[in-house]
Amino acid sequence: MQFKTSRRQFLLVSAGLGSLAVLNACAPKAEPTAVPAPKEEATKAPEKKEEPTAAPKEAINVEFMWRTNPNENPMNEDIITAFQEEQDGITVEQIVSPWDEFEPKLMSMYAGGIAPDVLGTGGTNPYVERHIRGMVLVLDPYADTEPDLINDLYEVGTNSYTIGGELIGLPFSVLNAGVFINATRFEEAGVELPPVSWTDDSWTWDAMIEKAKALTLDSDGDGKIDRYGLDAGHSSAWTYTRLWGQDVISEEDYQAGIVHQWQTDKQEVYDAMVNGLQARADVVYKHEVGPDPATASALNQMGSMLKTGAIAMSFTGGWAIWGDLPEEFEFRCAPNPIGGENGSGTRVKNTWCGPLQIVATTDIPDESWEWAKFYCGSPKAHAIMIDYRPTIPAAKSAFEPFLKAFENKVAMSAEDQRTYFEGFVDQMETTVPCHILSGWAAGRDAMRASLDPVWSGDKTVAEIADKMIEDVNAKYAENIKALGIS
Amino acid sequence: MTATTPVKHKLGIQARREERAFYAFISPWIVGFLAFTAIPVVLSLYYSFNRYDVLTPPRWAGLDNYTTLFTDDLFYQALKVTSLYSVGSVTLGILASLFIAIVLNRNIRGVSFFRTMFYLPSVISGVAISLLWMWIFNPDFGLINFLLWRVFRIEGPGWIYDAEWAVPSLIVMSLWGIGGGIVIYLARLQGIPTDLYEAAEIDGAGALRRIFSITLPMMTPVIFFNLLMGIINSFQVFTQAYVMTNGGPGYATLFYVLYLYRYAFKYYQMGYASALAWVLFIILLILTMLVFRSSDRWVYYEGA
Repeated sequence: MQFKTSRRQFLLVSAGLGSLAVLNACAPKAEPTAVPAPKEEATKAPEKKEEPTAAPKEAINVEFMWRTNPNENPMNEDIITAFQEEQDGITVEQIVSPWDEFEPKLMSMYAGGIAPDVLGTGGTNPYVERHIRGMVLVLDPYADTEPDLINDLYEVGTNSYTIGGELIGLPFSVLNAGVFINATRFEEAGVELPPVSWTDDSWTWDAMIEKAKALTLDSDGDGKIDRYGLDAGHSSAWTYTRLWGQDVISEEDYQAGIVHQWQTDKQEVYDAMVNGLQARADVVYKHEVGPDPATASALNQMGSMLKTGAIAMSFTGGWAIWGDLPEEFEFRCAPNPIGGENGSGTRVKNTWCGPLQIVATTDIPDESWEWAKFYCGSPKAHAIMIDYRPTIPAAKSAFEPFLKAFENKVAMSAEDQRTYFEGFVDQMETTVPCHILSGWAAGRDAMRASLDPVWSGDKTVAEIADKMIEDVNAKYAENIKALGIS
Repeated sequence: MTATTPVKHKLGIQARREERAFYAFISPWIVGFLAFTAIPVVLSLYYSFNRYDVLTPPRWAGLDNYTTLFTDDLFYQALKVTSLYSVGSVTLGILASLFIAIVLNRNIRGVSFFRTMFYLPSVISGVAISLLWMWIFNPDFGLINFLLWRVFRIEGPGWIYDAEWAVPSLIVMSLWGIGGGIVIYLARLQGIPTDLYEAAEIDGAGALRRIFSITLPMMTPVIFFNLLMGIINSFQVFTQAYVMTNGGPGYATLFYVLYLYRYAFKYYQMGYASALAWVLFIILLILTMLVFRSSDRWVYYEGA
C-alpha cells in the first residue's frame, strides 16, 4: 500500500505534532492554585508517606537551586557532602544559576513542571512573592515537630519569614550590617577608630561624616581626590527613613507580607525619609567625602573600594569583608551610626536573613525538609558556612563557633569582636524589605529611578519626594491589582 | 470558449518519493517553527488579555492590560526613549556605514585589512561590548573624556551617568556595530556597472555628482533593506540598557524591551508584558508599512 500525503494533510499533521510537543513540554507537574486561594491548598505540607517494608529504597535526590557564586557553590558542595554522610538514602544536587537569571529561570522551571525541590540564594529574592503565588510550602507542619531547631534560630529570621502567621522560609544566616573600616587608612590619616559597641551613643551619622572628612584626601597631589572617607552603600528610602527614626513600611504590611503603600502620609515619616535620603546625597555633594556614582562605578571595576583602599569606611552589609582580604590593609567592623539630626534617629536595626524555601510542587517534601533542617540547623553545616563566609549562621548555638572562627579575619581583638557581634545580634529587629515583601521589587525600581538625579547631584530629595512617593505607591497598587487582592 | 477543468496529473513513483523526501526534510523546521514561534506567539496574544504570572493559571482580564498600558506614563517614556534611539542610531548608522563602504570600495593596499577591522566589532558579544563601553564612557577615567581634555581641553559630559547624554551615548555606541551594514553596502557597490561611471565621466560629471547620481540611486535597494532592519532591531534594543544603565539615570534609558522584561520577569506580570509585546509588534508593523509605502518614491530597482 502506497502512502500519499497532500500538502494540506502534511501541514495539519505538523501543526498537531507541534501542538502536542508544546503542550507536553508546558504541562506542569502539579497544578498550582489561583491567587489568593493558594495558601489553603498547595502550600500545605503533604502527609508523611508510610515507609514501605519491602527491599531497601534507592537514594532520593533533592535538587537544591542556588545562585552562581565562587565562594558559596563550593561551600554548598561541602555541606552536601556532610549531609550525605549523615543521611542514608538522600542525595542532594546543587543547581546553580547566575543571580540575575535566577528568578526567570526558576519561573520557567516551575511553569515547566521541573522546579527544584529547595531554593536558596542569600540575596534579595522575592521570598514572599513565591509564597503568595503558592510556589513554596508552608513549613509550620515540619517546624512544629522541631521545637529545638526553631528555638535555636534567631527570632528576627523566623519572624521575618512568618507571613500571615505562617512560616514560609527557614533562615540559615543573619548577615551583619554596619560600617566596615579600612583601619590602615585611619592610621595613615591619624583618625581615631569608631567604637565597636552598638550602645555607644557617640557614634552618630554626624560623627561618621566628621571622620570621613579627615579621611578624604588627595594622596598623590594631582589635585584630585583619590581616597574617600565614606561610601554610603545603602541607597534605599527604607534604610534612611529607619536611620532617621521612622519606617516607610507599616506594621500591617510587614505582617501581611505585601506593601500597600508607604506611610509617608504621616508627616514625621515623610520628613524622616526626605532628611535621611538627603543626608546620603550630602555625603557626596555637600561634605564631598564620598565618590559620585560614575567614580564609584569606575573604582569598583578595579575591585572593592574598601579592599583597594579607595574608601576608608563603607556603610553597607557584611559582604564588604567577604572573600580574601588584602594583606596590605587591616579591616575592622563598626556598628551602624545613629541617624537623625544630632543622633535623634536609630541604627536602622536591620539584617539580611537568607532563607531556604521548599517548592510546593516537590514530590519529596520530607527529604527536602531534612536537607533544609540540616543546612539551617546542623553544627556541621554552620562550621562549613563560617569557614567560607564570615556570616553569622541563623542558629544561636552557632554564635560562639562563629566568633572563634572569625578571630583572625579582621584586625579586632577577640573582645572587640564579641562586643560588636553580640551587640549586633541584640539589636537586630527585621530583615530588609527588599528581600521579603511582595511588590517591593517594582516599587524599588521606581524609587531608584526617582533618586537617580539626587545621587547625580542634579536635584534634592525634597524636589523629587512627592513624585517618587506617587510613582512607588502606584507600583504597589499595580502589584496588588495583579494579585487580585485588596 | 469552453471552460476547461484542470487535469490532475498523477505523480509517478519517483516523484512521490521526492515529494515525501521534501516534506521529511522541511518537517523539522516546520515543527520547530510551530512549536517555538507560531504557537508561543498565539499564546502570548491570549495571555495579553489575562492576568498571568506564569506560576498560577491565567485569569481573564479582557482589555485591562491594554487600557492600563495606554494610561501608563512609563509606557510613553519607554516609547519615547526607544524612538529617539532608533532615529539616531539608524540614521547615523546608515550614513556612517555608507560613507565607509564608499571609501573602502577601492583597490588600495591594505583595504582587506580595513574591511576586516571594520567588521570585527559586530561579531563580538553584546555584553562584552557593553562592559567595554562602560569604561570608555566613564566621565572620570574613560577614554573619551580623557581625549577630550588632553586634546581639546574640553570637560566631557557625564555620558551614561547623565540623563541628557545617556541616549546619545548609546547611539554613539551603536556605531560600533556598523560593520554588518558596511559589508552589505560593499557587496552592492561591487555590483554597480562601471560603464555607468565611465559614461558619467565622459559627460563631465565630477566625483560628487557621480555619487549622488549613480552610486546612491543604485544603492537605494540596500539602503531600504538596512533601513527596515535597522528600525526593527533598534526598537528591540535591550542588552546595552540592561548591562550598562538598567534604565537609568532616572528613566533616561528605559528602553521598551527592558520595560517589557521587567514586567515579565521581575514584577510577575507576564500578561501585561505580553500586551506590551503586541503593541510593539503593531508599532513595528505600521512603521514597516510606512517604509514600504514610501519606497516607491526613493528606491530605484534596476530594470524596473
